[in-house]
Amino acid sequence: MANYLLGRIAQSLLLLLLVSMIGFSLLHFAPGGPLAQFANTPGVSQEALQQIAKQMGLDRPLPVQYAEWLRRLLTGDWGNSYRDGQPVLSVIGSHLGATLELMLTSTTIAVVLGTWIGVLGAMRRYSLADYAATIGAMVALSLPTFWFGLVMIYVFSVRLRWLPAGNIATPGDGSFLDLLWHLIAPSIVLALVTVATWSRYMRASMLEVINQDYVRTARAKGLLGFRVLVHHILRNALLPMITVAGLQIPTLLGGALVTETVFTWPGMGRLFLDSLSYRDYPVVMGLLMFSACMVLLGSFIADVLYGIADPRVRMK
Amino acid sequence: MSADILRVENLGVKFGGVPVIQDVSFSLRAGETLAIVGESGSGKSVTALALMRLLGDPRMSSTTGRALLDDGGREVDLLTLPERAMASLRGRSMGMIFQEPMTSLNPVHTVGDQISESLIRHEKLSARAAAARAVELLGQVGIPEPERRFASYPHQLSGGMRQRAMIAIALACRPRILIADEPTTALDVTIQAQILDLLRSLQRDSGMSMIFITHSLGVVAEIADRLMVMYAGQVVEEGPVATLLHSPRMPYTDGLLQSVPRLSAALDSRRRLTSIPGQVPAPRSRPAGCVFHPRCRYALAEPCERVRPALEAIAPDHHVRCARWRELSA
Amino acid sequence: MSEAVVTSGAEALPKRRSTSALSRFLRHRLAVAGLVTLALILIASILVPMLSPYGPLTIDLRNRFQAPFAGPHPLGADQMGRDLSVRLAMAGRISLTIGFTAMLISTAIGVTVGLLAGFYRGWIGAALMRMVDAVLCFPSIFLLLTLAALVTPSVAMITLIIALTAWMEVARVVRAEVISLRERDFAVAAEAIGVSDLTIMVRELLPNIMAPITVAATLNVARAILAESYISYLGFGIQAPTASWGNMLNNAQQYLDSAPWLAILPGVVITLAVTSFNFIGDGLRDALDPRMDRSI
Repeated sequence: MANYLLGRIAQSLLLLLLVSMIGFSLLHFAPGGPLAQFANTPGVSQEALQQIAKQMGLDRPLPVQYAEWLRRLLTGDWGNSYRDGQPVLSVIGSHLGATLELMLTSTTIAVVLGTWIGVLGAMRRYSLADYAATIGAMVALSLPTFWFGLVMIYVFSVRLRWLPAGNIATPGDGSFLDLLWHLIAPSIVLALVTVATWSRYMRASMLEVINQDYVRTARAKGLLGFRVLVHHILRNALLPMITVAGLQIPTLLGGALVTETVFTWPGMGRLFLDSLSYRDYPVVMGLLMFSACMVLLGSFIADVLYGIADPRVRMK
Repeated sequence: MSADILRVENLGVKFGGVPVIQDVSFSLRAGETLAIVGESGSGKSVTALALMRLLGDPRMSSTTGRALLDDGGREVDLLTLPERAMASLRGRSMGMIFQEPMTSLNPVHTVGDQISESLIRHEKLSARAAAARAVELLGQVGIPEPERRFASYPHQLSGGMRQRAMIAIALACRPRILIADEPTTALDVTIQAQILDLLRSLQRDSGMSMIFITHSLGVVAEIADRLMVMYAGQVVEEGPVATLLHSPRMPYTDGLLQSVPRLSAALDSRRRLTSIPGQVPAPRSRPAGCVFHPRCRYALAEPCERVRPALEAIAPDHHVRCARWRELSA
Repeated sequence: MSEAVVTSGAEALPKRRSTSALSRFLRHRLAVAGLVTLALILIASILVPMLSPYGPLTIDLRNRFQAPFAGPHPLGADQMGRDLSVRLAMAGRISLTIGFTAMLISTAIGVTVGLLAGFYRGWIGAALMRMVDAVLCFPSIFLLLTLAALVTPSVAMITLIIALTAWMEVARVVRAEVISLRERDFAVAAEAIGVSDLTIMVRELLPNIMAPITVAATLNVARAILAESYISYLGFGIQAPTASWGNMLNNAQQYLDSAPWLAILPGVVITLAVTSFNFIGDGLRDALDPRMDRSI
């Protein structure tokens, strides 16, 4: 386990380094480069621009600039927003909560619903419900999330008037129920893709396990169907799902961006789009790096959890 | 002679409408070991799984006949028992061990938990009491340091140790019948002998009956009291081990015996090892008449190719399914 | 795209035996349905603008917000009275072109990277695959939007950006196939004769992995069409007045209560097109390589 962990940490750090190189390249090879903001500001002369470039250290060789950039990244100095001069990390921090709230809710929905659909599909293989779930999952993965959001708003907000059309809460109303009420539609929209993916993987994983010899052993012991399902089949079928969960994070983050836009949800995704529109590159870069770190962290945690959950890895 | 503990009458199993085993009848007495022998595809394992009702999806398979178990003075038909009642028999009255010790244990639970589970289910023991009993059982099946092994996961044990753990699971609730489906096939020869010894001594101590499925006649001679030979889903000969091994009446049994390599025969270059030509027909393509006739060197056009022989009692304790057994034994 | 296109409609269908790839594909009912749907969309995209009296930019103020089937415009009209059927068809031309072209580029990149990484399994392969892993760390929509914001959003540029964020899966598939092929002996035999690396890769390995490449490429079209719709909807993709399925939805949200069809119709068309490509990819997977893992 210790070796496994160390190897995994080394691997994550290497990836982080590569990720930072990609981020740095994007920043530098973008049209206008790091100076884009100043170049677009009227009244800044060519000399002033050069002055700024020198101040920012842009005249130094690229590797030196990269090292300096990386050093500041690691020490938590991610620069300041062009818009309001706030440090990038605190800008991100102030939007993180809303996104996490959305992601956690929809992940919970997706895991419960997806597991249920997957288990049912595997137990009643080739039944009508199984076909329906298969086709449904395919369609869910094919429809644009934002459009599904629009349809939800149209049906439940415009027509039925059951749900709010957006926002995280009604201004002035801080109640938990109000929060929940606002959370329903966006978290369902964000959960859609994950439900589809999760149920497919779950079904496949169940089918893998269902015919294993040890399941027959469990039945031969006289255990009842439910105990066999939960203790012997699910316990094994859920193992690879830990890895699947880790791999869902990029999808979830991307989905959150779109969902937040549709539902005017004040999270990281909205922040990203707004920053792009303002050409607020420090925040854009910060969010890009931050989301990549979340992805890396997610898959790292998933691997660690897998190691804990599977005695064959844990005992090594 | 002690009473029958299990009486199987005309057991038949179909998979998707195709008969896999047909007309299987036998009985098992208290304390005896019945060996079922046959090539792969003869229906030995299906017979065993049908008795345990572990054939899998009931939509895919159908079972006919009766299998009457003496469950502590109460006679029940294993084939028609409601699933809940059947589940309470499994592991309590009938235990089963399988061929593959590497895959028959659940990789994510400790060996101890997998034994305890059965005790908690059937004997309603507390987790603590079940654990204590499980450690005891591990010791009984010859696993060294049972306290430590209790907390081991299957992947930490060798094949032989895993099979011992399987035996501990199957015997946890002292079943009256143990069904062992080729329990030694996947093991090294020296381990095989140890497991056979273990099963024999456990049987001696507990007085349970055993159905021992194998394709090795060498194992049969060591462990069984009676022998049942299966071919293409049918019982073709059944009787006391000594009788069948020394004077088989069915040409197939004879063929099986001829194909067993013996040390003495190998040293004697004049005696050649003979094998039965051809192979067991698939359930879909079983021939008319005697199922064995295409491979039988005594087969005649009449009656072998036309009439399917019945299982005939040629002695009080010896049954044969061959139309020509009289002529052949003459 | 953020969507991992992983399902298989075929998997739920019982296994069947068939000898020819074509008949296997045709028996995959969903794939055939996808093919037919796609053909209809394609034909409509070509014919509707030619047959309709309206151009994609013809403004008809008398019929602003005309509902479908309720006036001269068969599928309705938008806030400027532009004919929705013609706009959908024109958008279809753009979106399908982008999807197809982006697929070609991303598959080319993916195949190249995958071949190299699978063939040179030393540090070159390792470095290439770590690069793939690193790019996959960025949620693709973040990357897409960043790139789109940095360039002038022409059709060609958007296509290129989509391709640049969609080659990684192909690379992984190709690498895995190459490695498993190299374990077999014919590539080794060719090597022993002294043929150049390039020849082995192009002449020996590539033809043997066309099946998985075709499947991955088909699924990539689906992915690219979705990607286009996302960035255009968010305003960083294809810019008005050029219509694409995604940017038709861009303004639709504000008219949800008065003219919901403006939002519903383009979404339905996108879903139909993407689902079709996914089903076709699935059918191809069955048809071209019955051995292939269909568990997911």
